[in-house]
Amino acid sequence: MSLLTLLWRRIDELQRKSGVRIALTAIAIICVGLVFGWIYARGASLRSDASAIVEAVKDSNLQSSDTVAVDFATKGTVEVDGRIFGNATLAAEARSLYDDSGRMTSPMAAAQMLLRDRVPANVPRFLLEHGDTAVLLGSAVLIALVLSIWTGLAAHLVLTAIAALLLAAPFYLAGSLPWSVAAITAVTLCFCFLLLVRTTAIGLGGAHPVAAIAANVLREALRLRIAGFFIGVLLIVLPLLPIWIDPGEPLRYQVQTFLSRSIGLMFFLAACMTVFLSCATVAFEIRDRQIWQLMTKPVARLQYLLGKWLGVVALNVILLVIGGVVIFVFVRVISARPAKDSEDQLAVNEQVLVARQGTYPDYTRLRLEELEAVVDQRIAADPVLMSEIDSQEKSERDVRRDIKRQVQQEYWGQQRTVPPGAEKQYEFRGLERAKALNAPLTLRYSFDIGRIDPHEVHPVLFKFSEGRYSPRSFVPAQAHVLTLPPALIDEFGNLSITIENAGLMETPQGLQKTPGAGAIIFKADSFEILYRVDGFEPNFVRALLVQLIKLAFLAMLGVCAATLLSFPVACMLSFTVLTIGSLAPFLGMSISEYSIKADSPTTWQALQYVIKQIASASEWMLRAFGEIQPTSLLVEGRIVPWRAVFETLAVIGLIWSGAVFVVGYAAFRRKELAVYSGNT
Amino acid sequence: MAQRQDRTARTGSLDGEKIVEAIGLTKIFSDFWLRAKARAVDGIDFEIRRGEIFGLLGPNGSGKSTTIKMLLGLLHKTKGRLLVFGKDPSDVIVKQRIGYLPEESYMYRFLNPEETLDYYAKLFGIGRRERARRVGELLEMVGLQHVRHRAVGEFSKGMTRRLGLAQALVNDPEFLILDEPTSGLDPIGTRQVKDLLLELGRRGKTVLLSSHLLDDVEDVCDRMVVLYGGRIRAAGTADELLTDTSRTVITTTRLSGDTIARVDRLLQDTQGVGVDSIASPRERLEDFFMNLVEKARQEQIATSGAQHGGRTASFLAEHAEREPGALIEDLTRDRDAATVRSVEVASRTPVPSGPRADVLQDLLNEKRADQPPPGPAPARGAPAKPADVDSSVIDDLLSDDKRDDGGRRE
Repeated sequence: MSLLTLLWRRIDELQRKSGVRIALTAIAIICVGLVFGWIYARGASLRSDASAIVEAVKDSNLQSSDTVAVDFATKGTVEVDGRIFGNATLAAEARSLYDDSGRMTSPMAAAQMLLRDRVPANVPRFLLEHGDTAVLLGSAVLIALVLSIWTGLAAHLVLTAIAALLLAAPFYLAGSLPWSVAAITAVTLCFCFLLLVRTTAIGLGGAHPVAAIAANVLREALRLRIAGFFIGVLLIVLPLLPIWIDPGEPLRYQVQTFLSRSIGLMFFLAACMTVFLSCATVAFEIRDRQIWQLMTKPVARLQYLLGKWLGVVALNVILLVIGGVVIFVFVRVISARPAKDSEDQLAVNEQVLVARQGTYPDYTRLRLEELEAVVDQRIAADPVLMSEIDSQEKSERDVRRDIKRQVQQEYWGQQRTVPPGAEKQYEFRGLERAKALNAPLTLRYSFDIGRIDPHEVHPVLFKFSEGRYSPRSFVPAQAHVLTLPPALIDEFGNLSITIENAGLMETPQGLQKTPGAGAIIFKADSFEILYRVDGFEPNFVRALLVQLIKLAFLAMLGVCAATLLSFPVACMLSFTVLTIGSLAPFLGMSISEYSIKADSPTTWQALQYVIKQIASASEWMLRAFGEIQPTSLLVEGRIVPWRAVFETLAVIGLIWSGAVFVVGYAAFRRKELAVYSGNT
Repeated sequence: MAQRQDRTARTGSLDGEKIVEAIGLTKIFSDFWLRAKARAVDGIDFEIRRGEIFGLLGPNGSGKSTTIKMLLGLLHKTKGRLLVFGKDPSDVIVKQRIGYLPEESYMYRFLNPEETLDYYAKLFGIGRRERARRVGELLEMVGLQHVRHRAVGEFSKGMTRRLGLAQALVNDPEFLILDEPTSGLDPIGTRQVKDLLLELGRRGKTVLLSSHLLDDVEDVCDRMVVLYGGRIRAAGTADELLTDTSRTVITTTRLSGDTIARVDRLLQDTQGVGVDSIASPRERLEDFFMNLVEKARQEQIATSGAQHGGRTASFLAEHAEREPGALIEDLTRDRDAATVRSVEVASRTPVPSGPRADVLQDLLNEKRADQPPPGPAPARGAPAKPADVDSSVIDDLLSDDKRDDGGRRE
């Protein structure tokens, strides 16, 4: 036995002694408490000082010679509650914060400037800015340390830390801090993953078949290349994502890009891992006949399926917890980067890292008799079409259906078209909650004007219920926002907004309205009122829960499919369901647009009909899977409501998974696990 | 001799509880179109009683494994009645009382022996402390203690087989089903398994042993059925099936030619028959090998493979009538008896008299009924040929410590 092996064995024995564990735990609690407690306290103090400074300077005016503005601009200091912030070196910089009229342009920038010398240099800014992130990270570090100590991985943790530092050192020495951070994070994530798997396996250590089988799946996932590949890619690529985001872009887009890529990547890789692992763990066990030995133990087939499923789901929980914490922390890190301007910073805080409820104006639909009347008129007015119908060149049913669709679209289009110089009123209903919350409203609009030129700016006037005008401008096809006070909502929860296709032009006679250059046209989802109903953190958790429910369904599908089908066929089936489910909204739209032409050959019509029915049935069955897209909602700062989580749980988690389980169990119960091995 | 006495003692009390009851048991395999593809088991009747070591004997494809898989609920019977502990074999409660070693040990390659046994023990709901005790004792018993942290994927076939045996015993089963238990084991392992079976039998366990190695079955089984083409061709105790009452063998120290001539004359005068053959008994290769290994072990020559097992796991002996002895002591003790037995076997060889002997001859030749008839039987009373001694020992020697499945017989 080599000296190193002997030494390692001694250390291993030492770290398993209860006394050592208790001592190490105490040290970990004290150290983490001191470090993160200090960071939290320092951050809270800085945030409190920043608020006080903002309050003090926001109304200061250099031209009115108030004391605060004068002191700030000449001495570079501001006195708040008897304390003096800043020094003479800041005077020049302070003056630049006042505009020509002497008003303070950016109180937050003033606060940051005055507190610059009080910010600890060796503490990441995002931890000081967000107390909740400091608490979360501190808790995560403490949990990881305690789990390492009590699962016998304390020595491994030390070795991992050394390995991480060694890996990061070349990047750091080469001057690439982001790469060195990514290297340390990747190694840390891999360790945390192993730690959580081990902890979960210990948690599932009870002498019960379901728990034992689940724990075995976890071991299998660690040691099989098939699952390890996806897990490895996720844990390594996730920390690299922030590096690949252009810091030159507006901060809002940086945060949105990171959110979109990271959560999308996590779900994609977790879904692939789930499908492969759930199919492999059952199909290979049947193929390699380990199941002969397993099912001759007192394990009911129901328990076998549940155990396999639970193992895969436990692995997904681990992945989502690790990935979720990392994504959350990186979001904070990226959002602490300097914004382009105050509007950009505001957009991050109020439009991205937030959970908003949205509502669209009411659009009316043509009644059926009105629609039929218009269709009759159109057909009567088109002699060519009539003759084609008479000669059965075209079927009347097809023609009427196409015209109806066209007329309805035109009708809606008319409601969303404002000709130059004209105005149209839109009613937003159901805003009682926004009124009750007294939260500021965001009007999001994206207009077209017949041509898209990013250099063209067009005027538009918004008129509100109180009769106030808000002149705005827009670039075609780009989304714009306008913040509105909640007081605009009436007592019934309605908000009325009028779009006037005109601009205000200053003339010698005063401001005069000038009509727009073309008709304003917009889509149904391009004119919307949004209001904040919750924070980013709970929304993020709900989004991950929805993803977990979908992954749990995939795990059930994979496990049950593999009891009957071979590994490749079971994988193919699971991936087909995943793909159709994810694309269900697009598939639904395509199917609604798809029509079978009556003039085509009968065989072709029949084939088209069968294809359409299969596609429609698939879309109908799997619609719920793609209906809620938590990643898109998070990226757009929209709420993932608890209702959606419970609906997903009920439909996908209980009904779908239950149905798959019942079918899988019924088939598996009858299945003969052994095969004929005779001579004939 | 000790083995035989034990067996006789046990077979004397075979009117105990029925552990297995099969009546008209039939298994027909169908193809995709549900057309009968093969009638693997064809209306067999047998029962196994508590405390019995029961042998299922037959060539490849005779229906042994299919019968066992039906007993374990891995296959569903097509017709007939099959009860294990008075219940349907697929009942989970039944499995609580069964230990099973398949014809090949299908282990998880990613687990090590300790994790493997711990996993199977958990399935039986055995508590943590008890699991740890049983796992440790079983690993020591099968000689895998020193590789307890090595992945099973790196094991030789013999080592995997030992682990398979350990997992079959982890629940201290009342009824042990062993399908080709000595396949892949070296001669020492083979002997240990046989001795373990006898030990378990002495402790009241019921054992079903399936094998096509005739010596395995003969050495340990109280009762056996011989299957061929899915049907029972013979059933009974080893003595009932194999004793040739029409002949007598006398074993004594070496005789001179003159003495033999006098004996021959005496027989002619008194019985009207002469001496058919005269031979010196030879040691079995298995015994010869065991002596060599024992000598090497005493010289403390190291081996990197499975170590040869220690004491029988104490938890298996909890209901024993006597203290468990070390296996190696059993090996030493049984050697003398084995030497004598080899002479008896040699002198009992092929006597083609009566239908049962025909069946055995068929089995030995492993020919199907529809194939050309086997070659001429050995001459009446001819001395045993080396091939009759125990070719399995040589096979085992060749197959052990190889990681492939080349040593598989069925």
